[in-house]
Amino acid sequence: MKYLKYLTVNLNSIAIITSIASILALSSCEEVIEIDLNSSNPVLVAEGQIVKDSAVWIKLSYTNDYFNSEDAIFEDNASVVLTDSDNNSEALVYIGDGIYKGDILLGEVYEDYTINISTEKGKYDGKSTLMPPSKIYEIEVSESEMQRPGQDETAYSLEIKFKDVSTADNYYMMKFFVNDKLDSYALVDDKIFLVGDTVIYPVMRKEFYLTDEIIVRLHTVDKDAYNYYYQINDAISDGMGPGGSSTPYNPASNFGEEVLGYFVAWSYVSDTVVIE
Amino acid sequence: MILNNSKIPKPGNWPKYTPKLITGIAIFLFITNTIFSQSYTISGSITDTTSGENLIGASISIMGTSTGTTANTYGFYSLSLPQGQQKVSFTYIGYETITRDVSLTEDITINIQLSPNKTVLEEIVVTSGRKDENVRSAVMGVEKLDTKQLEKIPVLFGEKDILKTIQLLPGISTVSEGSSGFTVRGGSPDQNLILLDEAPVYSASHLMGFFSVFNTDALKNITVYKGGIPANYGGRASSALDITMKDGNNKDFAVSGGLGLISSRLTIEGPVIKDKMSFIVSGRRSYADLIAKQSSAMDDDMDLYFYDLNVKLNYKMNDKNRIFLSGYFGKDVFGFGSGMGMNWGNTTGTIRWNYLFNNKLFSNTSFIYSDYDYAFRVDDDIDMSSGIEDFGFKQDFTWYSNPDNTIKYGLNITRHSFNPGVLTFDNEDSNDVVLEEKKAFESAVYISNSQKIGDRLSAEYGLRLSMFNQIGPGQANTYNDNNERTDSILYGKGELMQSYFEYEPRVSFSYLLNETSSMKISYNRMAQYLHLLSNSTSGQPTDTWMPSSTNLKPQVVNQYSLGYFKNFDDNKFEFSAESYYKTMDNVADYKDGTDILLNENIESYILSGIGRSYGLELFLKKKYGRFTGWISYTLSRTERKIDGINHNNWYQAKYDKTHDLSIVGTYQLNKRLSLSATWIYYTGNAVTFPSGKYEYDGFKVPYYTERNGYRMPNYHRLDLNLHLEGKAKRRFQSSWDFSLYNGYNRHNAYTITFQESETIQGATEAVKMSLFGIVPSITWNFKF
Repeated sequence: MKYLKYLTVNLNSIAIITSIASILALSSCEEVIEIDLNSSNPVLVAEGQIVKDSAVWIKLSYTNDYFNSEDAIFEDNASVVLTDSDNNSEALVYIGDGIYKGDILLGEVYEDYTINISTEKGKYDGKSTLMPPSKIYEIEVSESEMQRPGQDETAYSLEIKFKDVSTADNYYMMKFFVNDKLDSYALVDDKIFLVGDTVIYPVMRKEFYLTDEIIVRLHTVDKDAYNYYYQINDAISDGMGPGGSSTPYNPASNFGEEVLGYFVAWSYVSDTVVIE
Repeated sequence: MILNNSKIPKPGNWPKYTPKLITGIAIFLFITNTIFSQSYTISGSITDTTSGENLIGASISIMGTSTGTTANTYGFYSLSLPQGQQKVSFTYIGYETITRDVSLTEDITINIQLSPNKTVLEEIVVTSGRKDENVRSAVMGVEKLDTKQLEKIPVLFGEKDILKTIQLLPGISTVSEGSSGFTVRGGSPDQNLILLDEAPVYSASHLMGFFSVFNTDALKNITVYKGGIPANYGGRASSALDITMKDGNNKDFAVSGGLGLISSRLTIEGPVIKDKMSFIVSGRRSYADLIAKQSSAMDDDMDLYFYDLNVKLNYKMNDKNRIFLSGYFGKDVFGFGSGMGMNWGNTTGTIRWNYLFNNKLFSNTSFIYSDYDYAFRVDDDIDMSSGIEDFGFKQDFTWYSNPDNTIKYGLNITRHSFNPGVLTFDNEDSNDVVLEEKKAFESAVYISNSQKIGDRLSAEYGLRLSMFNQIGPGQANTYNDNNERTDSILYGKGELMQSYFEYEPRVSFSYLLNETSSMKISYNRMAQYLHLLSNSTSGQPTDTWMPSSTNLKPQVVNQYSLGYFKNFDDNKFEFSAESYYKTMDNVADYKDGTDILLNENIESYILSGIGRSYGLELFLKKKYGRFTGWISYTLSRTERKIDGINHNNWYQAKYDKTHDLSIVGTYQLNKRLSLSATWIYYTGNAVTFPSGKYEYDGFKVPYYTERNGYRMPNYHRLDLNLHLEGKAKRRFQSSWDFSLYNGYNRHNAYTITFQESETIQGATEAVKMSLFGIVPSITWNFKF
C-alpha cells in the first residue's frame, strides 16, 4: 500500500512542481535563511541492527539543537543486552563513539530479537524479527518517462525484479547507494506488483544519470520496521509551510516514546548497476 | 448532542427541548403575523433596464417611514402595506432611483426596471441594496460583492478572482501565497460551503489552487456568510459562499471577453425570446502551456491547461412561473507525454423553477447535480481515480407575511456518492485496488423569520434540522489502536449503516442605536457531515471527500458574535467591529505518518478532538467618491485539542493567523483612468519546525518537540493595478488593466525546508522557497 504513495503522490509532486515551474518560468527562488529555533532537551537516540549471519551492534547518542554543528554526545555508560526468542542472551561491549557490539549471537532467519538498553535515565526494550533474504533477479535501466523540463541531461529510471520471500505479506526496504553514497530509500510491499513469486518494482521516485554507479541493497524487514523506515523517509524529505505537505512528526521508535531511533533485524541482498 | 445509534433517530431521541423550540417559534410567528389588520400587497420584480438581469438585493422602501424590503435572489419582492396612498421608492446602488405614488386599494404588481446611473463614477465597494443596510440588517458577518468591484483589484497574473477578493475582507484568510483557498474565522477550507447557482462546488480551484474555478464574466452576485448564517444554508461548519450566475441579457445580444497572460475568456449572451427567454455562455481557457512550450520550459508533448464553461438559460413563462437551467463544466489537464497525465474538475447543473403561489408566497424548486472527479494515468496502463457525486432536491418557500415579517422555510435532500479511490491496471500482472464506494443521504428542513420589532429592533431567527444517513452496500469496521480491523458488519444495498441528527438554531438581533449605528448579536450552530481527507495546507486535487460514519462523527460548530456598526458622512463611510467566539466538536487530524491515498482503513487513522477560535474584526470602508476602498483587520486565535497530538495539549491550528490586515484603495484619476492598490500583511501560519536533530543511518533527522509551535515569517505584499477605459466606439467598449503583483518584490516564504548543508560538512540549514517575485501582467477586456 505504501508503494502507492510513491507512485501517485510523488508523481503528483513532480508533476506539480515541474508544471508550476514551467508556468512561472522558474520565477520561484530558494535561499538559506536564519531562523530562531528553540533548544531542546537531549533525548536518547538508538540505532541498532542485527543482520543475518552477523553479530548485533547498536549506537547510542543524544539529540542536539538543530543548528548545532558539533558532534552528537554519545551514551558511553549504558548496559546493553541482546536476547533471542530462545532466551539466549549476550551483553554488548562498548567499543567507542557510542557503539556497543556483540560477538556471540548471529542473526538467524525468523528469529525474534530483543535488545535491552539501561541508562541512568531508564530502561528501554526494542524488538524486531529477522526475515529471510530475497533475491534480485534483474535491474533494468531505461530512459525515464518524465524528463525534467529544460534539462539537457537525460534521466534514467530503474525497474527491479526480485523474489518475494514467502506467500505471506512481505515488506521490503531498498537503499540506493549512488556512487558509494547512501542516497535514498524506497519502501515496497508485495500487494501490488507481484507476478507469481516475483515483485516488479519500477523506481519512480528517483532519477539517475549517465555514469552513475548504483548499488541497490534490498532488505527484507518485518512490518514494524517497514513502517519505521517509511516514517524516517518522510522525516528526511519533508518541507514545512503553507505550501508543504503533511505535518512533520517524529518517527515512532520501537523503544517507546522516550527514545528516538530503531532496533532492526533484517537480511539483505545487493546488486550493482551502472548507467551507461 | 450527537446521536450515533444505527437507527434513524426517533423524536424521543432528539434533544428534549427541540420540540419546545419549534413550537415556540411557531407560536411566535403566528402571533406576530395575525396582529396586522387590513393591508394590500405590492409585489413584482426589479431588473436592469439594459440587460434584464435581476437586481438581487434591490431595495423597496416607503418614503418617510422605515418600512421596506429587498428583492430576493430572483429579483422578486413583496411588501404588504396598509390601505391608502403610498410613495414607494425602488433603489439599487449605482442605478437611478425610481419613486412611484401608489394608491393601495387592492393587491398590485409593479415590475420595475432600473437604469444604471452613468453620472456616478464606477466604484469599488461592497454593494448592498440600500446604503445603510449594514447598519439596519439583523444579519451580521455577511459581505456582498458585486463582480464590478473585481475589475480593478490587482491580482496574480491579472486573473480576476472572487475567491482572492473575499480574502481581503475581515475574518477571511488565504491558506497560502497566491492561493484561492480560504479559511473563515478559524475554520478549515473544507468547512466553507461554496454554491454556484445552488450547486455545491467541491474543489473551487484550478492549477493547484492558484486560480479559482469561477469565471467572473459569468457571475452576477456573491454573498459570503461568516456568521449569522441563515437557516437555509447548511452542510458546512464555517461559512457559506453563495454565488449567482448571470441570467443572460434578455434585451440584446452582447459579447464580452478578455485576453490575459494566463487565459482568455469569451462570453456571449442574448435573448432567445425578447424579455422572456435568454441565455449566457461563458468560456475560459488557459494557455500557460503554450507559452511554456515556446520558452522551452515545457516539452511539446506535455499539456498543462484548464478550462471553464458556464451556461445558463432562463425562461419567464408568465408572471407566476420562471425556469432556470444552469451548468458549469471545468477541467484541469496535466499531460506529461508517453500516456502519463492527470485531470480533475467539477461539473454542476441546476434546474430551478420559480413559482408564485400568490403575491406573498414565493416558491423555488431546485434539482441539483454536482460532481468532482480526479483521474491519474501512468504509462497508459495504470489508472487512478476518486471523486464525489451529488444529486439533490431543494424546495424553498418565502412568505412575505407582512412588512415586518418575512418567513422562509423549506427542505432539501441530497444523495451523495463517494468514490474514495480506485487504482486499476491494464495488465493482468498487478492487483487492482478498489476502495469501497460509499453512499449517503443528507437532508434538512428549516424555518426562519426575518422580523422587525418596533423601530429599533430587528431579528432573524430560525432553526434547521439536519440528518445524515449512510447507507449500504458497505462495511462498517471497528479498529484497534494499531489500525487493524477487529470487527466488520456488512450492510446490503439501501440498508441503513449510520445516522446522525443535528439541530441548528440560527439567531441574530440588531438594535438600532440611532440612525447611523447599531449593535448586533448572533448565535449559530452548524453541522458538517462531509470530511475532506487532505494532508496539505494549500489543497490538492487528490484530496478526497468522505461521509460521516460509525468512526467519523460530524463536525459541529457553535458560533457567538457581537458587533457594532456605524456609518459616517451620509453613508460614505462604513465601520464595523465584530467579535466572535467559536467552539468546534469532532475536528479531525491524522495520526503521524498517515497515508491518505487509497487507504482502505483511513478511518482508523483519523483522530478527533475539539477546537476553538476567537477574534476581533475591524472594517472601515469608503463607498463613494473618487477615492474608494477599505481597511480590514482581524485579530484572532484558533486552536485544536486532539488526543494523540501534541501530547494531548492545545495547539495552534495551522491556519491560525494572529494579525491579518488588508488595505484596498482605488483612486479615479479621471473618467477613463483609475489606479488601485492593495497591501496585505499577515502573521505567518503556525508550523511545526524542528527543535533538535539526530543522526540515523547517516541522515540528519529533525527532532520535533511541539505541534505548530513555530511561525512562518510574516507575510506582506503590495499589488498595483492601472485600469484604463478605452474610448467608447458606439457599442464597442474596451479596457486595459496593467497589474503588478508583489510590487516591491518581497520574497515571502512559501515553504521552509530543513536540510543538511551542501556546502558545510555536518551542518544543517533552513531553506526558504519563495514562489512569486514581482509579476507584471496585462489584460485587455472588451464588450459589445
